[in-house]
Amino acid sequence: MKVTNLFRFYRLGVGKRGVVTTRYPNGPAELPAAAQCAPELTGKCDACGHCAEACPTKAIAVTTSKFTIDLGDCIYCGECARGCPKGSIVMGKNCELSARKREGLEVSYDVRQ
Amino acid sequence: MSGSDSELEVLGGQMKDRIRNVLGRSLAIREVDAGSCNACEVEVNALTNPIYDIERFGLHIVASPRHADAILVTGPVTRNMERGLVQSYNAMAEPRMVIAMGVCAIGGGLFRECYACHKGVGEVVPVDVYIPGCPPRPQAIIQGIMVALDKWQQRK
Ligand code: SF4
Ligand code: SF4
Ligand code: SF4
Repeated sequence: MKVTNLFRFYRLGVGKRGVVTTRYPNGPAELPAAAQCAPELTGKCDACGHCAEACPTKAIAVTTSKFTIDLGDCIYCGECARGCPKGSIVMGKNCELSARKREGLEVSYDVRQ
Repeated sequence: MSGSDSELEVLGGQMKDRIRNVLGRSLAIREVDAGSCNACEVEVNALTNPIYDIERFGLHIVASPRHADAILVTGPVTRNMERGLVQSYNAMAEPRMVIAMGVCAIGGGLFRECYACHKGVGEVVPVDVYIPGCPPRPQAIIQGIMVALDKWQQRK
């Protein structure tokens, strides 16, 4: 039959991927290697403020004692990480950041000189 | 079916049971685009593809707020969409919920300074759950929906 001939390449397994469905939310969120989520302060910081200046949405506030990122404003662009002379900001891999309150989206770190 | 496949089904069933427990049925979500750049919509579309496949949990994106338990709002709420958003909210039956998805919907994001829109959904209708990201990943949206389920459970 003509129709069976037409779809014969499916029988040969062309393009077959098997199960692609992710385990999430019953397993960890598997992100691609290039994925970047919210920035995180991981190293020393001298409160120079370059990151806050570089941020297009003004999501970062830095004082000599506290470093705060408002994830409700952050667009995950990575400008802060590129702008930090100490390389202390890394783009994280945690995407599970939902909150029930607007204030719950603010993430603070103690500044280590 | 291989071992890992059946395990996946069982675990998926747990989330389904939770939705049943909390709502007594499936969870229906209406997506409202209140002036987004459409990247958020692309991620919502991805939720129903074979990879994220939220329908296996009994989560459905529906065609009308009349059918929905929750609205998932994207975008900073432009002047033209303000009325549409309020009407969608009023059209939902109680108990209803509003999920703000993306930084635009949370606080205006990149469009905060714009004359033609609000600074987020919160200025127009009460928001129950905020999902940060620009756009939020599909996993982030699923997590936001789970946070909404927790809230429903507490209201009960
Ligand atoms: S990732 Fe971009 S938007 Fe987010 S804090 Fe850094 S510079 Fe600001
Ligand atoms: S994180 Fe880096 S750029 Fe930002 S204030 Fe600290 S040292 Fe400066
Ligand atoms: S949050 Fe980002 S991706 Fe979503 S509508 Fe706004 S600008 Fe677009």
